[in-house]
Amino acid sequence: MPKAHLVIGLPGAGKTSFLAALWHIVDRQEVAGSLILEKLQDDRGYVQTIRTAWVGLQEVGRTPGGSISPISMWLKESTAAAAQEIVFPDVSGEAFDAQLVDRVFRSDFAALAREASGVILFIHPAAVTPGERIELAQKVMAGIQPSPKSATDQPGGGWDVSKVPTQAKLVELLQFLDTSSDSNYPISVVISAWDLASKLRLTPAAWLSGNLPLLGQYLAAHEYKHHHKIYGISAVGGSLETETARLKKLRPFERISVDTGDGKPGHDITLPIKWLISAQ
Amino acid sequence: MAEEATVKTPPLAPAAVPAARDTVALYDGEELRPETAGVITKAMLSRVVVLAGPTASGKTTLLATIYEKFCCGPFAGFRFAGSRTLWGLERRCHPWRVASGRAVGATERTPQGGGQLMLHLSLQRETNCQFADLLIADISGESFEAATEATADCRLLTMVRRADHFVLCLDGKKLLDSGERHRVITDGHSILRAFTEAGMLGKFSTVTVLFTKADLFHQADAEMTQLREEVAADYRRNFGERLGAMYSSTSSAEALEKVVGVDELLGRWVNETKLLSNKPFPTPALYGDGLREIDKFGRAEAV
Repeated sequence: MPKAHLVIGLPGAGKTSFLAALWHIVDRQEVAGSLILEKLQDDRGYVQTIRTAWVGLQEVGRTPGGSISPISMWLKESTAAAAQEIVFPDVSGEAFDAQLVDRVFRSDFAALAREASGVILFIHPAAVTPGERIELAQKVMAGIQPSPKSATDQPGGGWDVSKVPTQAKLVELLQFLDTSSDSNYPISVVISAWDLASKLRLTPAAWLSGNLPLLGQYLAAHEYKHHHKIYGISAVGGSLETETARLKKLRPFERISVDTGDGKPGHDITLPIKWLISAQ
Repeated sequence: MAEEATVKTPPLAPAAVPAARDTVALYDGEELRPETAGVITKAMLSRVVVLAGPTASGKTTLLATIYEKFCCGPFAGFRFAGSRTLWGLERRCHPWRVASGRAVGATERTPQGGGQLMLHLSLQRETNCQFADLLIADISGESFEAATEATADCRLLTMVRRADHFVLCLDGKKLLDSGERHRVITDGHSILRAFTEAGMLGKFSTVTVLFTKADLFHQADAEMTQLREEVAADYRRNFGERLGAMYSSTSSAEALEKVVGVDELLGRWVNETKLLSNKPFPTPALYGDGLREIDKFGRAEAV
């Protein structure tokens, strides 16, 4: 059976920008060692549109939910190798939000999950909901602004899935996949917009364990079954509001930064996919 | 000169709303019950912990705090390896979080009549990567109060017989109050008596008398510490010989940065399980139907 790798992530996780940059790299083949495109699906209008915006340093924008069909491209390591499919079931990410709320898979997604040879999980550092405790937040605030002498207890807002911290949502998405498949697929974790987080001078793995510790533990505990690797990727290369002048001087592929944690970021945005292929 | 290609915006194709038959149901992420816990107990060796005690004795807070500690990182030598009841755990933590909109965190009372609800934690030891699954029962205080009044109500809490650990939670804050103290001690005594006389606790049981809200204890003087030791000794004198093992511990679980005693509890829950011990199992004769204990666990029981 041809191998297929599933791309998942909550809304705003950076899948669209990644897809735009990925399509450009595999189409233009300007980055040495990058995967080779065998084919993109026939209906490529959306991918072309976002790629054009990406090249032109325009906001790629979030994919509107429910509007774009699943996107597939077939990539391979060399001309002689067999191509493997990279599937974006829902670039918008709203389908994954719906899974958490409705607790169902669409049948087509269930089939993809059952047969997946690998998973790419996207996380956007600016879109993480931390689940902060009240007493810790008050402690921080107390250092900034003295609190009233007595804090009165007020009935708070009820619980719903939208209030679940990001790390718990991501663990649940991975647990859904784990219960749907018997295979030991590898997982590439992509921390997108890495230019935002890289200023902290942490490796992608360190960023994840510090900011999403529940997810970090889950990945570590299941390493025996699902090898994982964590990447920090900036598909855009910087802020389109404040760094356009610098970005304009670069060729599009030079704007991409891929950090594997080895201190030598490169431009090969296909690395997370290459690793999935090699990890099987 | 080559004509420049024009990129046309593709028409948006609205995704169809899937009909029910086009979907595959996933587990609901909420609490397990004895009749649904088989998904865990049949798949792996699991430890069952029953948190017992009157209302507001700190049972749910303890449970929520354990999960919250894992939300911050590995805890007590374990890493979080998953949960079948993630939404149930999240729901219990919500009132302590900024997202709740509260000014002060507080645990919501476990609703009466909810039955024997269980929360699942899959843990992995950091040292040797061994897995340990915990099923922690979160039962309303009213259920335990009812159990002290009628043996029939006592026997409805079937989890207690299966439990690897029965943790009797006594409100440490009320113990400090001379007006409440004796009621706390008596309530705890009544619970132990009810369950031992009903045969729900016995030589097959490991009981921990847990004095919760211990941060207040630590602020109190030595007299209160002595009181705690006297209570534990009294319980041991009355029930110790009828039980497999009895421990006394304190815990503080409300302030996440000042959690005390919980790591020790968690370690004991994982390291001691009746399924790997030489303690006798409860005899099937009590039920009179010849069924094995393992066959009874997971049967629908009305509560």
